[in-house]
Amino acid sequence: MAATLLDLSRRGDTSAAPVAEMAAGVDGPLASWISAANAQNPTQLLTLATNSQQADGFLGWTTRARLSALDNGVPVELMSQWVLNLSTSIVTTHVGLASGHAPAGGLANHGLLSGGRGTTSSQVSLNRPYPLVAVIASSLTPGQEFFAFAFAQHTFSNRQAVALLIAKDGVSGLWHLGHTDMAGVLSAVAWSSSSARLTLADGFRLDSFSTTSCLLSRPAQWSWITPSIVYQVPLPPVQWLDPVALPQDLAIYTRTFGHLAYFKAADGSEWLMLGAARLMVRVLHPSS
Amino acid sequence: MTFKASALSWSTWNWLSAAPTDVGMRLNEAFASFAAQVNANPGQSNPLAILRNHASATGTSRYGYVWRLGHPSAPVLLRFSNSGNRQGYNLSSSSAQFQLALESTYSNDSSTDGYGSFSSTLFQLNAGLTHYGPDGSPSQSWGGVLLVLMDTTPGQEFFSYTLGPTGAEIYQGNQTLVLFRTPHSSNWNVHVFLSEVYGGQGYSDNGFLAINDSYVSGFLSPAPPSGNNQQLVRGLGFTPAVQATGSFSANRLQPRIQLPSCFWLGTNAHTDPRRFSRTSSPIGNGTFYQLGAAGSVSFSRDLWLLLPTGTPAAMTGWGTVGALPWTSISDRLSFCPLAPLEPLLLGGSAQNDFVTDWPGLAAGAPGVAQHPFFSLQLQGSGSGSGGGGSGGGETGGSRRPSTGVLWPRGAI
Repeated sequence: MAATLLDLSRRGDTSAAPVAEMAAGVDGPLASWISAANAQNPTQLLTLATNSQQADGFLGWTTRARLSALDNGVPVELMSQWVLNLSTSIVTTHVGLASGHAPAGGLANHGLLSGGRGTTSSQVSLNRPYPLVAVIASSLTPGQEFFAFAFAQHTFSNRQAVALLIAKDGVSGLWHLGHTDMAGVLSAVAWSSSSARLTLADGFRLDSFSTTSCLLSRPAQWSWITPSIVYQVPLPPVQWLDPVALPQDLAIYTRTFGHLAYFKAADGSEWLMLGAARLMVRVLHPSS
Repeated sequence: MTFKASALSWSTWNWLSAAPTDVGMRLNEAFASFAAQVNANPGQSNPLAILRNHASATGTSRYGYVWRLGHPSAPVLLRFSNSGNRQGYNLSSSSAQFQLALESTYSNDSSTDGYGSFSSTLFQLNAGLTHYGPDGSPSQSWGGVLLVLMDTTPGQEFFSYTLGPTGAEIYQGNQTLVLFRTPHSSNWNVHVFLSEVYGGQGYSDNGFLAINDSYVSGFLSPAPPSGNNQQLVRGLGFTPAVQATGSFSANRLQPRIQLPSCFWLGTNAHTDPRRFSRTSSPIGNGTFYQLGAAGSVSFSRDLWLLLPTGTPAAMTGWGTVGALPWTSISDRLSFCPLAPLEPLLLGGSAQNDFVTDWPGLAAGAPGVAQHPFFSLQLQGSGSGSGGGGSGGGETGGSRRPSTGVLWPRGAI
């Protein structure tokens, strides 16, 4: 088992709108993958609510995941937005419950997601001829499905992103959604079934190791945001948050901001880094 | 069932006593029972033995134990003893010590108030223990608890005890010791967790890992929650620094050394420190117990125990964990178990070796030519062969068009 890769890299000086062309290249593979993923997960439904070309003046993706989990008898719906404003270059990222989505709230046809977690602080360089190093990694292995799109404009820590991450949780079998903005700020949303509670993450559980060695650890899993209760009144009740394990083709590496760093592991597998958040994807597996 | 959780409490705590009913000899009783059971496990090559206990004391103010962690070639001894009757504001971190040392360095005699002495130690750890006996200094008396967990299942045996005074004493020192086996360790691993509630004193949390027929210190991995997020996680283990050879050396698929799954570690900082708390699991799968105290500062760490509903009875003659004088709480904490962890994939002994690991800084032209993915984007023939071995999905030769540099794209 290894992920399927699609290279969307291009020069930045041969077109008036290389970023938009790159983004448009994501729409087709994303729609195809969603269609196939839905076919093999009939109790859940992924929807590409708005793609990269459906909102004037904006570019990006608003995705929705209806889960098989119920909250008060109603299917839980998660939503993720990664939207670039083509006039200000600002990237709006957000994850949360789809109930927080206002279709006419902003970002043109994307609408505006609130609640949950997001950023509006990072930017894409639209007016510089930076090359785009971009890759889609995906898998349709049942129970281990994921779709990730990551790109970088240069090696600075403010021009790399995993713009799309739709992945199956290996523990619950539910979809979850995540992304980073252009500055490595990570957001993810999932549903904790055993406590019927939304979970939000701002990072991965990280293994530490001696700084003189590289380390790849699996499963990649989210570090949940929990209340900083010292400053909160009244104190919130004790809570339990289920883990979410990313698919086997994804792992956490010791590098940050190392888009397309490459690692050959001792078991014969080979891994490619996506974006800024230490996430790696397996591109070669010795047994497949 | 091979797992047992047992507990005792005293209204007056007395570490400086060798009476069979006091804490020291009850701890000895529990460890002797565990040792007898695991020594009988098939294929046991790391038998446990007791060299000293509270009854070994020849002085009046030093009490403790020396336990032998057996090994075919390098047995080690674990010694813990206090050095006086300090308590309350007299308590200091150095008033008691753990020592881990090769048996070959031990003088098995009546020195050190009957506890023998080491010519050298592998590790030594200050572990200020609260006494609170009637002869303590300054004079005051509080209660205390002894909580013992054991699992004698072959391959995942562990023994854990928690010592701690109860009551409102802010200078109390609590300790938990966990001796645990994992399939890929060469002897018993040692985890020592110490906590104090007095503001600013925080905690100490140490792991000594039995690998490569020796002991090295390790750090918790994945990193436990920190700061003010009041989060406790299950599934942590210990990882040492990179080793020259053997376990945890470079370029390995390395099985992890993980704590027994009943333990939860994280943060629990608050301006009103709590100790020996209890709360029901919010999802109804058992009860959480706090093994010690949470500091009042944001860098403190907290250790908890989850006993599933239906945990078997305590050892004969012991009480249940639930019968201890816990303080029930219902707020603040988030319990976040980890998904089961897989072995680590360790890279080269040095970063940027360009054989196992291409970092971003290899993006210059020579690095690109050597990169299994970037190299496919290069124009011309023969550039896709990769420099350091079998690149991902390579079939040899260029699969890029002869005109245009990065276009068109294609799947690899």
